[in-house]
Amino acid sequence: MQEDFHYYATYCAAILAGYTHEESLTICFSAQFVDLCTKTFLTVVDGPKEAATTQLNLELMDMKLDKRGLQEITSVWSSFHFLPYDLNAKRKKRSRAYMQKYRLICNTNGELLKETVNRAYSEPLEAVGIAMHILADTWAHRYFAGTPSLVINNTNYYFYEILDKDGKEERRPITFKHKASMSDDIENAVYLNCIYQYSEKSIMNLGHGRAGHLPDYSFIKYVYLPAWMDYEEMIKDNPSDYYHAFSQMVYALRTIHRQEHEFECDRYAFDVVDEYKNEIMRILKTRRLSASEDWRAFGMKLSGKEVPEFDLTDAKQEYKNASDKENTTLGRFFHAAIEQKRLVTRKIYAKPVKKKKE
Amino acid sequence: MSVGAKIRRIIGGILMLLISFLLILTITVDSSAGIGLIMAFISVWLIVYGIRLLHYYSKMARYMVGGKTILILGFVVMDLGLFTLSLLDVHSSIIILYLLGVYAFSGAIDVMRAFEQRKNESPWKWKLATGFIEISVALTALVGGVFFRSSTIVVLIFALGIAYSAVARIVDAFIKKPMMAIL
Repeated sequence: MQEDFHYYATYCAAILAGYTHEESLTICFSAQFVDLCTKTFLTVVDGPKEAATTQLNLELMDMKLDKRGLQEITSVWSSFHFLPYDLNAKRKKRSRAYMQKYRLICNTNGELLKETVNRAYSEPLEAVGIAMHILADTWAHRYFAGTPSLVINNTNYYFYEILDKDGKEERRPITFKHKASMSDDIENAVYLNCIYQYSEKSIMNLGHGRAGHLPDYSFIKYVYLPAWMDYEEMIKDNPSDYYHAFSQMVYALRTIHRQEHEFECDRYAFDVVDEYKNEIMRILKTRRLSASEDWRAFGMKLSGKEVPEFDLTDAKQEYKNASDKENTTLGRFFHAAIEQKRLVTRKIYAKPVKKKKE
Repeated sequence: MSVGAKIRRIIGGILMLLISFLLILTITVDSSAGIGLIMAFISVWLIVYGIRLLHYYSKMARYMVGGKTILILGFVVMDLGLFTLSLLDVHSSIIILYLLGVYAFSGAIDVMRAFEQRKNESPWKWKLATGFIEISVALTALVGGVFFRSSTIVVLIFALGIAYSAVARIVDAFIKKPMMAIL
């Protein structure tokens, strides 16, 4: 997902959940900042390096792909962008090495999501923003894993966009190119992706790199063959998934705001969101690279207040000048990020408990 | 590529240049010993690499869509290694033909990949150049080695091949490679 959803749509969800304009801005700021908090940024502001929630391409290319390096990559990408659905996943006739990767596949409504959102109940709004980023990404990035893996994240030539032509579904082949300077060409279905590398641990096989930015666009519906699904087609309906993501965010934010009961999986605030369904679906289905302007206008309509563009300058300055850094926006964000990373990393790398012989 | 990775690549390239220089030195002493070393080195490297690919297939890639490519690749590479090993005792002209075949095949693949990369708007010129250089080496082996039946030429071609790979490694360290961000 991109700024349009993580920042502007999250603002809209927070307003619909009952937060004030200022509170909503804090939540959506944190949700968007998850995509920007790199080690490089933390070096600039002299923040804790373990609070990194994403990695720059250069940082990734600098990583040694040994056990330690892979753990670091996985702890960042699985904790914040590809939350694993079922760490105890089982499949017959699969090797242990394979299952170590398979269990990291991201999907919606997993146990870890429940823990992530419920952890935010007693935390500052920055932690709530981080949780909303993670929740939204479980919808966009589902079926991919936040670790370099050819056997999970690879895709092949079988990739078609599903278009609605006069009420009938039509499949149009998608072409992928690897030129960094080009941008995605929606009209001609030509998209940028990572080049095929047959090394299991290649950085090119991290997350949805092989599927390009398709999971990040709300308008697109497509079909492909995930590497792990035994040659079965997977249909990814982004408008529907993004609508669910938005409705689940409103539900999650409402339960946190009211502090009345715990977040439960597979529950959505359709009672609130359906009133705006036509408008939201129009924003989601419009074919373009970014829907920021429309989400922003929708947010201003909901709150009646100006929604500023995402800007890091003030927060950065506040953190740099503060004597008590922990009580700043970035300080609270860093603390929440470290806690979230600990939660997920411990679950992923926890050794299985051996039963004692009696 | 990071600065650290670039430095590692450049150091690797310099080491390969040194090996190439040492091989050329063996020509002045006993070129047949050089041939044996070359063939042993190639075959061991290919066999180990092939086994690693087959192991990867049996443990993981067999469950993957398109995983049979890894299986085929593993068999081809290992087979090539075993075949190279069997050539240790044969006449140098056979080895020349073999080297010729390897270089010509590798060159043709590089040329084809260059055209594919051009189609995909990826960097392609360097690939095309390396393809043509490899084909030129094959032609040199054909003209010099087969007609003159000289083991010196075999060692020289291999040494130059390593030197060329070393230069390619160093140049590669300075080529930008596209990679997309995942957010």
